[in-house]
Amino acid sequence: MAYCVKCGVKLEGGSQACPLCNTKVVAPPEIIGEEKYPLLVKEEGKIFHPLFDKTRKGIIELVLAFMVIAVITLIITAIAHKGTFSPWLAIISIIFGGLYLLIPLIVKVNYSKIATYYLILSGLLVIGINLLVEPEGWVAIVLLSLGLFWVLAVVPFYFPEGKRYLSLLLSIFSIALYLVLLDALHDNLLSWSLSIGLPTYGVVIVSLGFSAIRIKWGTPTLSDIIISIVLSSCWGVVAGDFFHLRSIHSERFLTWGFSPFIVALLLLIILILAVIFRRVRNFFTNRLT
Amino acid sequence: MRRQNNDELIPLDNSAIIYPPTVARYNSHIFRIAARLKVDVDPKRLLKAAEVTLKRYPNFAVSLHQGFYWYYFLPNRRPLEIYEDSNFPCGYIDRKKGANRYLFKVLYRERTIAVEFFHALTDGTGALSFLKTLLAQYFGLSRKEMEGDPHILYPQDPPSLEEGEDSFERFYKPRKALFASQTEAFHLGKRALYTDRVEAISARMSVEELKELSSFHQATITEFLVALLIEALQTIQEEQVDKERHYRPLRVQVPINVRRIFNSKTVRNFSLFTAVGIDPRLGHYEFEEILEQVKYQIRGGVNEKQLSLQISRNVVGRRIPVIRYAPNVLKKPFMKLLSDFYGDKLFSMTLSNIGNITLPEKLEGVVERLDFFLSPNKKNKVTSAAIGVNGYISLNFTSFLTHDTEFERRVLSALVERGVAVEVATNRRNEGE
Repeated sequence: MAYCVKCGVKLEGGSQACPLCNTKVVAPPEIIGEEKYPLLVKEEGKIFHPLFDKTRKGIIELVLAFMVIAVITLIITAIAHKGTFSPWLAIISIIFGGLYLLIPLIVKVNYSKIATYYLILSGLLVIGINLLVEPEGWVAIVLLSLGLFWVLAVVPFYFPEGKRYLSLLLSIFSIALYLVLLDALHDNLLSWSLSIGLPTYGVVIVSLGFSAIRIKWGTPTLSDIIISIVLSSCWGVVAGDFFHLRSIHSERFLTWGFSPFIVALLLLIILILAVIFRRVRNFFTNRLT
Repeated sequence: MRRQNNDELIPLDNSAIIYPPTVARYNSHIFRIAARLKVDVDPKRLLKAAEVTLKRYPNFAVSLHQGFYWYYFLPNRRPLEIYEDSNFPCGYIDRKKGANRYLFKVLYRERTIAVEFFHALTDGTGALSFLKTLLAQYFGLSRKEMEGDPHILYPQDPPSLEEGEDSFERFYKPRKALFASQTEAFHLGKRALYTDRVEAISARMSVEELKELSSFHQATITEFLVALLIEALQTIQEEQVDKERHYRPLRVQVPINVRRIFNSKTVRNFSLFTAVGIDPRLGHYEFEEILEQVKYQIRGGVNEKQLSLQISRNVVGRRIPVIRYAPNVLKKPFMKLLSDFYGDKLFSMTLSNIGNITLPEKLEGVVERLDFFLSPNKKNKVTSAAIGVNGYISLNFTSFLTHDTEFERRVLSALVERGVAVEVATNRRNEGE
C-alpha cells in the first residue's frame, strides 16, 4: 500500500493516484499492491435515474395541480349554470397557458426547440379559439404569420454555422411567398401582391443587398450603415408608390413617394461622395485603406 | 400482488412524510450501512438470513403507496430479493419497480454485506439494528450470544408495538412550532461539474487517535469532525467568493438519535438534527473559535426542550386541517419547493455520526469494518457520515461532484497534519481511467 506524497493519506491497494488530489502514485508494484476486495465498486452497472430534479418536478406538479383544479372548477361552474355558461374557451386557455409554462421545464432548454414548441402551441391555441369564437376567417392569416416568424426567427438556428446563408435565402423567399399568400387569403384574388408587393419587396431586397455587400466587404462607418438602411427604406417607399401608380394605370411617375425619392437621391449622392472623399484622402495621406 | 382486504394502511411517521414527495433526480433519500467481513459472503445463506430478519421487522416489509391525502405503507408480501452490489452507493430505489417494491435493499459482494434504506422507512439507527440482526442471523448467533446488544432483535421474539410506533406522536407536546427563518448557507460545487452518480471517498482512522485529538481540544469526536468540516468549508468559501459581503453562513446539519433521550425503542425514524455553524460575514474564524462555536451549539441544541420543539415542528403539519385535508397532488409540489427553502438551502452539508458500534463477540471476530454512506442532494452535493467499530472509525464522504475533491482533501489533510493516520478508499475512477 502506498501513501500520497501530497496529502499524506494511505491509499487503498492498487491505487494509481490519490483520490483526493489526483497525484500519481510513483512506486514499485509491490508497494502499490493490489486490493483483492475493494471497499467500493468502481464500475457503474445499470441504474434508473429519475428524469427531473426536485425543484423542477415541484414546479411541474404545481402547474399541473392548478390546471386540474381550475378545469374542475370551471366544469362545476358550467354545470351549476345549467348550460348558460360555456367553459370551453377558458378551459382551452388554461390548458394552453399551463403548457406554455411546462414546455421550458420539460424539454431541454434550447431556444430553437422551445420557440418551435411555443409556435406550434400558439397555432393550436389560435385554431381552438377560432373554432369556438368565430368559426371562419382570420386563423389562416395568423397561422401564416406564425409560420413566417418560425422561418425568420427559429429556422436559422437549425442551420449549421457555415450554411447560414441558406437560411437567409430561405427567409427572402418566405417573405415573398408570405406576401403572395396573404394577398390570396385576404380576398381570394391576387390583387396587390404581384403588381405592387413583390416588385416593391424586390427593390428593397436589392437595395439591402448592396448595403450588405458594402458592409461585408467594405469598411463602412456606423453612419454609412445607418444611411444605407434609411436609403433602402426610401427606395422601398418610392417603389411602393411607383408600382401602385403603374397598377392603377396612372400617368404620373410618383405622387407621395416623390419626397422620399429626393431624399434617396441625396443620400445616394452623400454616400458616393463619402466614398470618393475617403479614397482621395487616403491617397494623399498614403493610407492603404 | 394485489392489496388484501384485511391489509391495514400504515401511516408514515411524522419525519418520513417529507421523503416520498421529494424523491427526484439528485434526491434519492437513500442511505447505506455496509459491513466488510473477513470471510466470503454466501448469497443463499444471506437470503435466508434476510428473510428471517425481515419477519422480525414487519415495519420494513412494506411498500409505499400514494393516497388521496398522504402517502402510506401497505404490507408487502412479495418475496424478498438480495442483490449483488454492482453499483455506486445510495442509488435511487424506484418504489414501484425497484427491489420488488420493498423500500430497502440487501446487497452483497465478495466480503461485503450492505443494506440500503429509503429514509421514509427508518433512520440510521433502525437500519443498523436491521443489519446487526441480519449479521447475527447470517452467522447463526444464539440468543445468548446476542444478549446485551441493544440493536439486535431476537427473531423468535414477537415484534412489539413500541418498535413500530411513531415516537414523534408519542412525545409530541402541543406547543407553538417556531420556524426560525435562516438565510441560505454556502454550498459546495456551485460551479463544478456533477452527475447523479454518487462518488464516495471513505477514510478510515483509529478511534483512539481521533479521541485523543478531540479530548485534547475538550471536544467529542463529532464536535471535532464538525469543526474540521466547517474549517474546510470556510477555506473553500474564502477561495471561491471574491467579496466578504457575498459570504454565506456555513452550517452543518448533525442528526441526533433521540431514542436515548426520550427512551424510545422504535425502529422507525426517530432522529432529529441540530444545525451547527458559523457566520463568516463576521470575520475569519480560527479553528479553535470554530470548535468553541460547535461545542456551544451542539451542547445547547441537544436538550429535551429544544428537541421537543423540533418534534412539534414535525408533527404540527399533520394536525393543521388545511394541510391535513389538502389533496396529495397539491401537497407534493409544495413539499418539494418548501423542502428547499426550509431544508437543503439552509445547510452546507450533513455529518451523521452513528457512533462507535459494539458488536457481539462472535461478530467482532468476523466483521472487519462498518461503513455508513448518506446520499447527497442537489444543494448539498457533498455530504458525510461516520461510524466506528473495532477501534476504527470510517468517515465517508459522498459527492455528486465528478472531479472536485477539494473539500475531502482539506478535511482529511487536516487530520493527517494533526497526526491522525488516514487510509482512503474510493469508487472514483482516476483521470483517464
